[in-house]
Amino acid sequence: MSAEDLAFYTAALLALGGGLIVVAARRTPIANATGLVVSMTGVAGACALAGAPLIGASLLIVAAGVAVTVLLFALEWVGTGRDALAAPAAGRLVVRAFAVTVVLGLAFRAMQDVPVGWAAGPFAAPEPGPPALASEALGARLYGGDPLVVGVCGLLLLVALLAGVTLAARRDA
Amino acid sequence: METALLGRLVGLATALFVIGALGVLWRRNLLIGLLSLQLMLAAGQLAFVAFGRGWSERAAVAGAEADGQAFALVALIVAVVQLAVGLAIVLAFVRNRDSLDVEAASTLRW
Repeated sequence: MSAEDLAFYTAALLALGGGLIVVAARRTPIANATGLVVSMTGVAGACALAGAPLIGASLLIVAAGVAVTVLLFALEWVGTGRDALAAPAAGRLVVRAFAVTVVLGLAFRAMQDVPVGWAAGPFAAPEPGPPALASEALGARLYGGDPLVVGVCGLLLLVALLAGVTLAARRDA
Repeated sequence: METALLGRLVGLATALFVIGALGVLWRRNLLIGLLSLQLMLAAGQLAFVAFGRGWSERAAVAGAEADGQAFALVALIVAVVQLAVGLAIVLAFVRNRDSLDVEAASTLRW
């Protein structure tokens, strides 16, 4: 099994396992949100394998971070997550910290350019593939052709966020 | 990128999309449905990236990889917007129905 295979199977395990936790966990929505973070980590690793580490990092930071932050905020506001936010036992905290460290370490490793630095390891280095698309090329593609599209996307995002805040703030909705 | 890796990535995206769709159809909790939608959108982004990379290499289409990643970025923006508006709708729903059960939204059912 090559390093690329191992990285892909790790990413796939994280993505699918996290997805199953999102769908199947019933104890508390916090578990579902944690599953979403794990799944997004796997998808980010898969994106990095496909030569898109920028997309993977953006996906992990924006989607998982915003999702969990806003979801916890909503749970606190709605009031359905108070019991789940009680402090867990010390042993469970250690296990969770270890699990988070392992997941983050695997994700960081998957986001590396796999062929580099693995040649001296226990796995056979794969054949060097074509270089990943540089962030400069992606930026040039987005802003070089028609920047109006990106501007419209940003405007839609702003309007949607304002609409969300307005909807959430209405007491007589 | 090898053809095998492209196939695996597309297979992973398909499996993740199916899991998300099952969550939307199976679970009655609105918040879980929202998270499942995030899974489906992430699967779409992964498919965009994989197909863009594969197309640029196998068919030698200039700019296909950048196009795939640009589509993935736009899908990421859509996912964030959908999450913000969806959570606002969930909050309004809970205020009106005092429940997260989608079965409580039966006003338009006939």
